[in-house]
Amino acid sequence: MVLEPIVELQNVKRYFEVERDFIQKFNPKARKFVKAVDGVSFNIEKGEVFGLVGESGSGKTTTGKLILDVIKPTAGKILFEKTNLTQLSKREMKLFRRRMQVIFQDPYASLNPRMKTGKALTQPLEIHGIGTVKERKQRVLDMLEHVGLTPPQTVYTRYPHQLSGGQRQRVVIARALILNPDFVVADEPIAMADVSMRVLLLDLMMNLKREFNLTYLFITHDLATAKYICNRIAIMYLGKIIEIGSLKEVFRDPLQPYTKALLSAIPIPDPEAKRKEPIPKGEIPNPINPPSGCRFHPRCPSRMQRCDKEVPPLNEVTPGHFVACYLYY
Amino acid sequence: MHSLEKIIQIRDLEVTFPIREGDLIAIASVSLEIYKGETLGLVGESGCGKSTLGFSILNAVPSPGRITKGKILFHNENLLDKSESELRKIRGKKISMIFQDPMTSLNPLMRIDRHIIETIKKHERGTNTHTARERAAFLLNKLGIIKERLFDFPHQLSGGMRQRVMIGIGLALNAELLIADEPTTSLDVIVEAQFLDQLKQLKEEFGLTLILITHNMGIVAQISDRIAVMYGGKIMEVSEAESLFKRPLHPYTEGLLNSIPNIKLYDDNLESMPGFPPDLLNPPKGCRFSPRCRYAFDRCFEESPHPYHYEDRLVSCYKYANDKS
Repeated sequence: MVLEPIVELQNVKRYFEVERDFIQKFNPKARKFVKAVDGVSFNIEKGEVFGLVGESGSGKTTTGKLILDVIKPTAGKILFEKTNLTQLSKREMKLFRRRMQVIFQDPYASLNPRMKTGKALTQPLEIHGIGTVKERKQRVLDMLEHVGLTPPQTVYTRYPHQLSGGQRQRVVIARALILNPDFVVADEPIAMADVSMRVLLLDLMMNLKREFNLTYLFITHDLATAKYICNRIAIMYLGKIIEIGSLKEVFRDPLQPYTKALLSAIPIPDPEAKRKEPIPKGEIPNPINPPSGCRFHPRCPSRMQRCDKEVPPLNEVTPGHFVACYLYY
Repeated sequence: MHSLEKIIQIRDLEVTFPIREGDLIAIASVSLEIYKGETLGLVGESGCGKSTLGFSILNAVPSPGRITKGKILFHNENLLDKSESELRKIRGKKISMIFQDPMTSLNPLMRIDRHIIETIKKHERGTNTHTARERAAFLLNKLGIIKERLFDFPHQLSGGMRQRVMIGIGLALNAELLIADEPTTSLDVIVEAQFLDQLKQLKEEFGLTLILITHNMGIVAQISDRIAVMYGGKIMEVSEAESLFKRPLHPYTEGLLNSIPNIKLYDDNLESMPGFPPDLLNPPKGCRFSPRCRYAFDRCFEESPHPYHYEDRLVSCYKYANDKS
């Protein structure tokens, strides 16, 4: 694989202001922020599947939305093939939108219930002025066949409620790929699917990746799924990336105590396999007042004196394996 | 481990949902026994009838569903013969159930101590509020919720704490049997692991019998003594947990185990199961898994297999038939 980043994040931050009550509105000092994404930097290389893993509230979905320019960053740079997306006008951005698409978790919520499959897939082509009416229809039918919705003519005239959950998610995948993008953000694409459907959807996504030369950002809370398809993964905790590395390294040799905990907390489908590491106490703290220093320190079994005072930087421990922890500093 | 005393016996149960398109048979001739003190994992995909089976044990199948056939014996008494007022004395007190989403199961306008106090007072007439509150505090303390949070509203608690309050309500009356329907689905992995540890511990302490309904094979492997696998409204296989994972007998169990990633193996090849779960309005004529089954032969498409005994397990599959026809 040629190492050429398609997406680069440089110290990206996104803060959301917390609504104040009536009296506090007159006190500018009472302003509070949720630091959903707080200084995140990473590259996604062309052709890879980059996994962004974290618990709910870690900021992984916000990061995905920032890359797609659905929401604007509070600070930092987001580059797509060396172009800084944060400075583009709406018209310039439209050219890039075509090249980056998204698949969301819930196929029920991401399809308009009053729009037939055909229309849902033709619309992106119309918006971007691609092809004639006839060509568009042919392109949509081809795409439906590609994602395994056969016969395409029948699916073309179906409303979402006439399709099963698995079929719906295929429509969502088809819609994301109809513009022939280079980069796809898949935000928990299989979390709603049934166990027996999940592997099918993952295999489909991997086949399409090869066929269309795609790069995926795969956002998930499920390390076991990430392990099945990702090349590299980044672990997020309370708005910060705490470990990045190749899939193999992170799984074989997790360094950050949080990553270790996350890995050992996954229930193993084998009654004879027992958990080795103790599970850390407590839950993800309030993001409005995150802990000082390393954000994991209150729950960390191996915290040291400096952990609650200074924020550990991401530090390269072995080539390509970065970790934010003073144990490896 | 469990004793030999059967706390629940489900016999030939059928649950029907009459809907506009016809009669949907959500559970078709299911028989299952639950032993005192065991943890039974009830697994299956969405729509397989596992939650409906949970509700059936309380004789509380949500409308328009009805139990159309069979028996549910609780300590040898048929719950289906009981009146609503008799059932109310069993539900919550002897058998209680907790659900997936603790936010929708708790009253948002009620402080958490109230939830438990009310439960105690409703069932044990004459208990005064003070004693009930003491008991609530004791119970929640056991579940790791400190006294100061007793007067919080549900929205002030985290997801894990809310789910623990739900268990608190479930255990407030010393129920013998706890049915937990996907109790960890809305929790994050670490909180999930904490919760499961706690559930195990409580089970020992209170001598509970536990039915854990889930789609997650990992959870079931970690916590169950026995496992029942459901598919399309029927039970496919009932087995001790260890032997089920070591050697799944039913082709559906086999497919299910092959399609879940195991974090501990470095290169596992996942296999996908072809096809879709059955349409329960028009179920396949023979075995409900037959259209997706790689071992299916003529008989499988013709008649539906009943459970066969095979090495102290129960399997509904003609591969293990001992009545060759």
